[in-house]
Amino acid sequence: MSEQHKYSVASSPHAVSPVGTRSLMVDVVIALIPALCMSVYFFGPRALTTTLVSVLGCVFFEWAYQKAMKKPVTIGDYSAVITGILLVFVCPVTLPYWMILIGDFFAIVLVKQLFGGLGTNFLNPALAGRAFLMLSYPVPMTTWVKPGKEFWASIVGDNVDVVTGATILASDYMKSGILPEDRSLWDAFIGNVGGCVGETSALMLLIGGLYLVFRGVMRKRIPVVYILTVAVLTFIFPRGDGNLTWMLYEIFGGGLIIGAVFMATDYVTSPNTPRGEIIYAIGCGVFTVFIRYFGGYPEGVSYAILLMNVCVWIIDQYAMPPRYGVTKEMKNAAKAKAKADKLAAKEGAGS
Amino acid sequence: MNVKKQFWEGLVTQNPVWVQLLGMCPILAITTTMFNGIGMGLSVMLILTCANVVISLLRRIIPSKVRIACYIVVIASFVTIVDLVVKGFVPALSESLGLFIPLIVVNCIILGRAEGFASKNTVGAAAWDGICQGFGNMVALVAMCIARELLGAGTFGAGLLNGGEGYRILSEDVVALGMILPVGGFLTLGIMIAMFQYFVNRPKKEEAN
Amino acid sequence: MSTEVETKVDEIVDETKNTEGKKEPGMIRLVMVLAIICFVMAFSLGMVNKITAPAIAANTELKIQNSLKQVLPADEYELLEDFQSDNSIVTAVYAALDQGYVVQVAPSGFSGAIDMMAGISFDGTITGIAIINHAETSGLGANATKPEWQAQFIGEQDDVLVTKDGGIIESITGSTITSRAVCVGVNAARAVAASME
Repeated sequence: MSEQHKYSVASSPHAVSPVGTRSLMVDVVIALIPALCMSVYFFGPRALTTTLVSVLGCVFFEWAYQKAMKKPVTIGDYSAVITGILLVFVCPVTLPYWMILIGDFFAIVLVKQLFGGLGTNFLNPALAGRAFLMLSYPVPMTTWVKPGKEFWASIVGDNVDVVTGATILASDYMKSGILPEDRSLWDAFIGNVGGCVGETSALMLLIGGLYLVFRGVMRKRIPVVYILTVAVLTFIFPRGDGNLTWMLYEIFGGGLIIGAVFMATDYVTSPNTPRGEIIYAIGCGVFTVFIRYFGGYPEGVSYAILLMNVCVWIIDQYAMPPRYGVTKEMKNAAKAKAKADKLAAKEGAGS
Repeated sequence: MNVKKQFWEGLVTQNPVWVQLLGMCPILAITTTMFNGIGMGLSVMLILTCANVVISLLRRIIPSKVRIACYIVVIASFVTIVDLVVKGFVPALSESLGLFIPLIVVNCIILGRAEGFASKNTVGAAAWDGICQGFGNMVALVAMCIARELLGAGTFGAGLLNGGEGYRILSEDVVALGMILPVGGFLTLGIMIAMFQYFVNRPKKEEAN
Repeated sequence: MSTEVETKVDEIVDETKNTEGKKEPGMIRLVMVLAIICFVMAFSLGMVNKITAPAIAANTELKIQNSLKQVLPADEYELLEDFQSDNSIVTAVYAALDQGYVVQVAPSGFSGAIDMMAGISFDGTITGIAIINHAETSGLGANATKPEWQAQFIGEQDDVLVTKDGGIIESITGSTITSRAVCVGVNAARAVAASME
């Protein structure tokens, strides 16, 4: 008995990294803060209050569900905090607080916890929450405030009399193949355009992304390939004047940067193999451009990522890396042998 | 023939929707108002009972090689009869159910019960089976309708109660429109099946222990 | 418990009877049975059709009449076969007795064609619109069926445009494309009505 206490018996993996779920998640939260600051600057303090409400909502729903189901409470891993922030980042700033809470409930309870909690959900909870809100409350979800201090939405109230301004992807502009005249590329890059709370400032999102890369938290392949796919497709097939201008507006004008950097890279809902990551990212890019060009909605990032989330299992099956020490020749030889065996078996059965 | 057992099977232990998962297409598509649910439930119940009776009557005559063809002819005829009658005398129901009444032909509940029950049992048992299974189906449909209508449109009993207006429970600004879209159908059905299985299977486990 | 045993016995008896009856029936028997079932079913369908056909025809007619009455009230309507229109979205023209014309049009909306009717009086005034069938998004484009929104068309004497295009029609929130489509349909109806005189 006493002997056993000296050695802890455990199954693999035996190598324990000091980087746990919690420290990863804290890094992501830090990386999202610049975009939040920029959003407060352009859309007013309501951006901050909605984010706080959403974070509290997500943490509460996770805690309440786990308490009710008598499961270990995992709110300490900060994943609910990130879901809360990301959900608000892809909603308009004027969205009423109670709608945000419905989105939180959908994301945390229906999408994440019912499927087994962090690590087993097959959709990105924040994006699924946004998709449900988009279907359920189409008008509030597509009401955008103009950026700038004079248009700030008030913290309380339903903000029905805000000055609305379309996103540059909307049917007034790029959906109809028109480049926005009153919004320069620089405006689109720093986030001085209408749009969701956290998606507009490409600059700040890229800074956050670089921080994650610097900390070694983020895998670079998915965002790079995703953005490149969109860039190539929109450069070759522009719908307005000027290939390069059109391409840059497509990249910085919508939710592509937040989608590519923070949503598509979610560990749980993206492939784990290098080849799989590339297939997944190209799929995201192609669907994004397809929805923007031919779909009903002006913006396609969220649905593109959700679609590819569903395909992750198949992609991982296909893109499994070869086992260590197995060369291509060995693989081909094994294939040829299997074929010959099959033929032989057939002939044997025939005779 | 066991009247009580068959009824309990249709409603709970062999419920066509929550346990057998048959006839999902109309369940997902039309369960948006109580009027639709009751109309669809009654149509299916009527067709199921008639088809069961005829198939049970003919069960000694129909050769097994062509039995599926015979069943489909019988089922399709009853579906067309119901479709014509509904179109002629309840136009409002025909408008809101649209294509889903003719589609009852391919609803698996009917062919499933014809093949699995009516072709092996007496006429009385088959008729009672049609009523019980049809009732179980209708209960599931109406439950889905009530949940989706309340959350998605904010009303109770639209098309049926209060002069067709239904009673408004939630304000139009509050309701989650997604619940009466196809998405809401999948969500509601999934949650209902999970809850139903949880409650039906729980006592069994305790017994086993 | 005893009842369950009884059913089991019943089933067994049934099964033995079933197997007795099956002596590998010949081809002719298969065809005969199927043909007889088909014949009987077809006959009963014919009977039901005879009873319900007038009621169904009356319902369809009533629906058209109701839509016509809604957009342009008149005592009598006549379906005109010989209308001339270059516009392919015009599907039917009715003459409303002493009042004007009702034109059925199908402009393409956000998703698929919007089947609608517009009433135009002899002096070119829009008397009302009705949407018969559509596949617009619920909560957005589907709001075009609301009478409150359609009311702003009534009484207009000129071609209509949404405010974004410099007209007076307030488009439905978030559904400019649907609103434009309805305007296109109404304008086509006006053009046809004007060419009838």
